[in-house]
Amino acid sequence: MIDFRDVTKEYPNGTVALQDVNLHIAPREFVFVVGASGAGKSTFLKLLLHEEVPTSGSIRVGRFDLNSLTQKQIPLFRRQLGVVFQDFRLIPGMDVYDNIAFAMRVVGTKDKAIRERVNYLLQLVGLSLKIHCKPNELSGGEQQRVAIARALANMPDLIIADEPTGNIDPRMSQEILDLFVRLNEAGTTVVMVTHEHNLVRQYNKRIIILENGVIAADGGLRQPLSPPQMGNAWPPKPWHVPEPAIGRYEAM
Amino acid sequence: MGGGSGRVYLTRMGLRNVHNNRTMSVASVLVLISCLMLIGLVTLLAVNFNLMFSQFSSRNVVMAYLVPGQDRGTIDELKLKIEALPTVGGCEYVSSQQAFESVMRRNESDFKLLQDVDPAFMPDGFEVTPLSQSQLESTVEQLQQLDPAIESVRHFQGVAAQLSALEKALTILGAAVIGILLLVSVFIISSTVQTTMYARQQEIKVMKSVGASPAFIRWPFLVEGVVLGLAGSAAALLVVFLVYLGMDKVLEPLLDTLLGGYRLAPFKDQLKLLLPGFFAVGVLTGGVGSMVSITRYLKEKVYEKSELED
Repeated sequence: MIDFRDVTKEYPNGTVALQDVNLHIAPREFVFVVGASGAGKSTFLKLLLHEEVPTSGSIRVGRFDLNSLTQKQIPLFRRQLGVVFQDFRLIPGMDVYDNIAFAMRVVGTKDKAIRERVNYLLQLVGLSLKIHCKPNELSGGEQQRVAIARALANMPDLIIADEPTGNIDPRMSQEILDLFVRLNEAGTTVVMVTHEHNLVRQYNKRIIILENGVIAADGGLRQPLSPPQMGNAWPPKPWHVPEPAIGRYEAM
Repeated sequence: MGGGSGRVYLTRMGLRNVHNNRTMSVASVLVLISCLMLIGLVTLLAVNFNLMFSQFSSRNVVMAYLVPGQDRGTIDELKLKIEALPTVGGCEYVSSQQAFESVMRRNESDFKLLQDVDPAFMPDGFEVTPLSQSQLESTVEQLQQLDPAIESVRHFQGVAAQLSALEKALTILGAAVIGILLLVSVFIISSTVQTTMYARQQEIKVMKSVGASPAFIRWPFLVEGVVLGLAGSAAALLVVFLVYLGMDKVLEPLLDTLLGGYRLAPFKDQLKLLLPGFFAVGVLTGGVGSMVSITRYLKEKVYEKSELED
């Protein structure tokens, strides 16, 4: 699903945000990406969304080679993604139905299909009764559920979530995470950037830890996390485990 | 862009934008009206000036007035002599009676004033048309020396030359003014759409993040620009009509006195120039203005967090 090979991103001001990153995320995987400020999480997301291009190395997402993506292919590429932002990014003037339908209109879906899909998605996120509410009439958690429904509107293979629980209360955060897990169980790949270590700890999912632009650890909590994949090695060599990665994560 | 239903939806979105941003929409239409009104009035001025000039040119004859009391034989002989001049294209005898009647026709309102005047106070003469405008001066010189029976020769060559120069200057000035006003119109529409776009950056980013093509994103803004342009054109046409009507009423006596009965060109005759012109300008300025502004916003990123924020 996602392949980063020797990816380095250096900004014009000389900041090296990512350095020789190699990673592979398989279809149907659920991956948390964690790291402190300046670790390279945002650059990782920008590269995934093709907002930035790598200085060196190659990125592949699904059937798209992002290094050779033309301007015309960018919208097509983004249609296979569902993006969920921390600040929801709902359109204030539109009600819940239109905010979700909007994503389908963009790709030219017929009205009948839009109606059916939006109703299904609202049931999925438990907001059928709020169909005609404007975003400002919803709680943070409800707004994020609308944003998730919108991200799912075009049946993406991959959901990229940037701090989806950053602006909502803990109970609702749990519900949102559960929703992502259910989506993942239904076959959607999920990549979630988050600061919420307490939430991450509750799920036995793959965790990628970024530190100063490199992958400091990559693995699951109930199994040892791996140390960084090294240098130019591709495919990755069997990893040497110098310390239990779980300890490293717990120390963050 | 999406299918038919998508385009209908986007068009509705564009119309909704006009309504939602009504303060800016009204402001932009008002400024567009001002620009188009000036363009319209400059155009109408140019049209009238051309008309005036062509009417004046068609009257560009040399009058050769006779010493009073010439008999018919002398007049016929003189007519043959004038027609024989190499620069003369036509020659017509105008008796004092005919000249007087012509004056009466042009001054119907002053009929009572003129009805007691003896027509003989006007001299007999010949209306001589030169072969071309450039031969006017030599025709005048030849007529002055042709026969003692010709008392005086009158022509409007100086005025014609001045009018011609003025017409050229006005055409250039008019074109420059129209050009500048068009640019101003594009700028205004562009600024309006840009303002509304600034307020809707979020919407554009969401559109981009869900994979909207640039054409899909542009369409509502294009509709908005074109609608503003068309509304401005229609309103400006009405304003120009009313101003022109008022000008015709105010200027009528003045033009009558100064230009011998000249009336402003009827507005309905100018509609076939103004109607398509105004609507074309409205659609183009609206369309170009909105495209200019959105191009900038289409380059903006969907995801703007910096590394320091994450």
